[in-house]
Amino acid sequence: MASLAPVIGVLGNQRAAHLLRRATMGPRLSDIAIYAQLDAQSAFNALNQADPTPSLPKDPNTNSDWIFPNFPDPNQINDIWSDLTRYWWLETQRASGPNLTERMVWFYHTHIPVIMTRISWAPQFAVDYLRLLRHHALGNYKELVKAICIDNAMLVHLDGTLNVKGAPQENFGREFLELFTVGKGPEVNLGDYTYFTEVDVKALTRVLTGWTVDSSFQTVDALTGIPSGKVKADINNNATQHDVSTKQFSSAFNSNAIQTAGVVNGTCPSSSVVQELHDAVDMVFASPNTAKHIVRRVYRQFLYFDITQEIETDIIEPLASTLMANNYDLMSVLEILLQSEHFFDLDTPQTNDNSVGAIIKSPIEVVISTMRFFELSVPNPTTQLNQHYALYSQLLGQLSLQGIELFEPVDVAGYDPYFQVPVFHRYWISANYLANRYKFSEWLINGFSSGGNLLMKLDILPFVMSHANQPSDADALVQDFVDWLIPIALDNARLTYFRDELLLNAGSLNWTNEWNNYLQTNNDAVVKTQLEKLARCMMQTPEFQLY
Amino acid sequence: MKRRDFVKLSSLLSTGMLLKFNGVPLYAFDEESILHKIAKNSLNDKILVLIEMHGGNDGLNTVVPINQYPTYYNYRANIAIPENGLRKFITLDTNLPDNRQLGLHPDMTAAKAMYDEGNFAVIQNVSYENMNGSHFRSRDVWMMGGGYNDYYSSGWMGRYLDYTYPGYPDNYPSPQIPDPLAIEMGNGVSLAFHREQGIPAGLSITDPVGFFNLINSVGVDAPLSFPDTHAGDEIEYILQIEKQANAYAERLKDVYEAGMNSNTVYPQLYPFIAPASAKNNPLAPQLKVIARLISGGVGTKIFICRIGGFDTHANQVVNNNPTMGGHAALLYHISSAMKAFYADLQNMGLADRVLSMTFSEFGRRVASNASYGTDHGNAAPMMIFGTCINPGVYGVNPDLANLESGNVPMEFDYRQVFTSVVKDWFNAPDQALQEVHFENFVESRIDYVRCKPLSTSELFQDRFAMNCYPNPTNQEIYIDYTLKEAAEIRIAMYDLTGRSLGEIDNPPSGPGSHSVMFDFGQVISGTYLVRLFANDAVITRKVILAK
Repeated sequence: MASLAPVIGVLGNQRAAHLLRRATMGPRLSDIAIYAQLDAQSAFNALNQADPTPSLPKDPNTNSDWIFPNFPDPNQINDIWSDLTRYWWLETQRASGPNLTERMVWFYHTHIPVIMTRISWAPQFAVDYLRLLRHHALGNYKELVKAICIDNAMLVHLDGTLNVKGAPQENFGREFLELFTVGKGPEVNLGDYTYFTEVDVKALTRVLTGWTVDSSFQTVDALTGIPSGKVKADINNNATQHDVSTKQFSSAFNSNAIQTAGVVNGTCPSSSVVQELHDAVDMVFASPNTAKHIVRRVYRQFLYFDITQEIETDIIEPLASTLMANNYDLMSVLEILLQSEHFFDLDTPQTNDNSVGAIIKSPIEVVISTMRFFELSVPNPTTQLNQHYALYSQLLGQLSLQGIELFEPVDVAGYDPYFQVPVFHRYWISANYLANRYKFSEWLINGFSSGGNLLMKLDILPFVMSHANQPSDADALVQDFVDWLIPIALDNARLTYFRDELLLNAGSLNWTNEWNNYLQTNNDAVVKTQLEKLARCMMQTPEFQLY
Repeated sequence: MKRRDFVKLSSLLSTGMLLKFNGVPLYAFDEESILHKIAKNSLNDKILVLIEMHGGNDGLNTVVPINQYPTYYNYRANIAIPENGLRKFITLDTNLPDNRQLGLHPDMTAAKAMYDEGNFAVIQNVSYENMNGSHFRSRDVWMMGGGYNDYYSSGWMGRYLDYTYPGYPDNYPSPQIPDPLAIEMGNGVSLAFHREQGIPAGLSITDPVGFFNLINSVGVDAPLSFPDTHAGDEIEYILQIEKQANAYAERLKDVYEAGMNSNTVYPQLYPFIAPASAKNNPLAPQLKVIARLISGGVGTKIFICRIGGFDTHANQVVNNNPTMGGHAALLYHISSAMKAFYADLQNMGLADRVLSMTFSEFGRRVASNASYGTDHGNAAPMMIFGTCINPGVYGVNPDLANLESGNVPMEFDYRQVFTSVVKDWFNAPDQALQEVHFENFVESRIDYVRCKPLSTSELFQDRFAMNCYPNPTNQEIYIDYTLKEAAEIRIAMYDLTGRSLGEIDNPPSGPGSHSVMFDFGQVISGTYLVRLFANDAVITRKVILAK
């Protein structure tokens, strides 16, 4: 039976590496060394530390941000700001500390996505959406959802601004129930999806009537300091487009009826509209199906895509209870899950449900986590902003070749591998995507450059010099590379293949002699070539695609 | 001749693969390859091209129900296609009865031209029982070939291919089946091609030559064993994809390079007003690659192209002209690209082998919303393109006075449409229809496929199908047969182990009675089989040779 009991004792290197691969944007060797000394609870406490808020993205022409009270240069086309926001996000991921913050931002983006092209006419919306996810990254899921309902980006993305009394626009209400909260159960009758019904879609849609974006950024959330949308209101702050009639929900929500407070002459104060939104969110979050739905998403992000009946009973249900008992503080769930015997594969003697190395990396992990692991330096965003952006522009292209258009999922449900049955993360792997992943290692080793300037490059020889335990010994060196790059243990045949075919050039080299020769003469021609070959080829294996 | 060319040519000859001559594929066989030929002949050469309209197409602005125009207009005044003026709908066919009178969107002039040539059909009101308003679930239902309450982990196309080509992927490619079974244009592979287990039966490509170059530049030797863990399962999956990519990359490049397009000009831009992101025709380049692969002799049975942007909750039309905008551009792209595709195929004599159709996860609400858009609905039309179809309108205009929850109700189950593909177009046997789970739709399938292979009883006169005499014989045998219609005829002799003795040169293939003679020559006494292949039907007679 799958066990949520915590593992005992200090983590050691392997468990620390596993934990950090899943809970952060990818570990560096120094992170692993620190976490290896911690027990599971201390490790979680350290992971649960928020990253410092990153500075705002910069316009390369002015070297300042375009966030209110600044504005984007109106002479530039909107797509520029969209890409600058993407670069900023990738850099934030790269530079983030060994904690959960950016991992959770990514998780929330895959769960509550926004499609960039829909909001590119107001470039700050995308930045604010990310700031909002980041603000709530280690916080309360319900609070995030309350905020996201009236986030400028979301109001545009799912047509919330078009939802007015007398002309309901169901797009957001439907996805809110189906994707973000209770999820869809079996369709037991026409329009009855067990956990919600068409009646609820219509009622919730009416709850959400009368909001609009505030593209002058005057409406600022007091708690987060981030601009949000606003209620459409007259000069007396009475809602003008909100449907004030009673919203009757189905038995899926205990036949709750939500009323608008303070209705006078068919209108109400803006504050009533906000209150009604909160009432509705509270109602939907009182359903245990909301807790289970979000816990399943967490499980798929941190453990594995396949939720068996055993996992449902032993993991999902108890964690969903925990989540409800903690009023949707998601860290209460991660605190248990990321310390559990199940997470570290210690709960059963069988190995066929082991989860170490069980997830196929997304292109984000292939690119960003690899850059982090090798501690590759990027052009300085303060002093070399143009080159900095030039690099991320190329990396965005790499991500696209590997199967992700960042901030531009095809579906309102997000990127296929995070939700699409039957194979979830296996959708990252098609012949093209896979080949382009493999190709990325060549790019790393050959280096990214622009206009004759080298932007980023993996110099493997200095990395080996600094980090290898015993670089003059071929077996020890291959084992180091395996520990660095591959999450699972490999058999002897595979280690021998890496050693003889890749490092030793089909067995023709005496590695110790070559290494010593390099140390004495400083002529790195042979060792550099072979180390590059080893690194490149190991990143072109199926094993490297896992984490 | 360069050595490389020579090597290529000789290897083609020895494996019985294609040679190219003026755009018409020729097959080169040596004496030993008669069994290969039989294997090849057991499958017909028909190809299906599916166009997925991603997001839910608004059927009522695709084909306007002319007989109910006032009701149509009242439901959607802000987006209705006008009945007068320069940009009014295009009446498809004035000869149709009133309840089938429909008007194409004014940007579908190409589809109208194809209709007038007998190459376009519309199937009205296609859906499934208890339509699920979710994009994701609904798309799954269409792809998996089940009902609203089925949860298959495979798609109907995957099951068809799995049945028809047993042992995939291990046994393929083979000399007889050198090509990928299915190709999805683009980079990822959707549920459609997923089989019950293992890797999808489809391959995804963008450009065959680039694909080959990419595949051949990366990768290392595969591990020989995998651990019994989830990680091991993922490694195995990735390796299968690798193997598939390697297996097909060179072949597709060869086919592509051997193929050609005619001088047809494919459309590029929508000529009227639409958002910039909707201006470029995304379908035309994909279809152009497909035409070239077909001309190169590719044996792939199914191609899927995706075109996104149909989720038109808002701004489906520009707000001062309901005939232009994003949706109009999409319809223009599909109909103009299809026309070019078939012109290209016809120029090369290949059109009769290709059937194309559109589908979408659902239609849209009859009433428009205030944001110049439409919400998720139910049934919608499918468009059929091809030179081997029965053109026309299947089903009647939806009765706008009798909607179901504001939606167009279902008239045809989508499986009634796809069953005709499997049975009539691919000529699959009954057992295949069972495997695909379409057996209950055979009786009610829609009869839009014109070039159906005739059944044995349709091909041969009842009592005189084939007669062999004298029997027994001591040297020669006469084979008489009668055809109702012209058919592709082969007559071959075998011994009881299946070894070929030879076949009749160019047997008569027109309608009427024919007689041919076969001389057993040096063949020793024994029992032999005479087999007459007529299209895909076969009749076998036993004859005894007694010298």
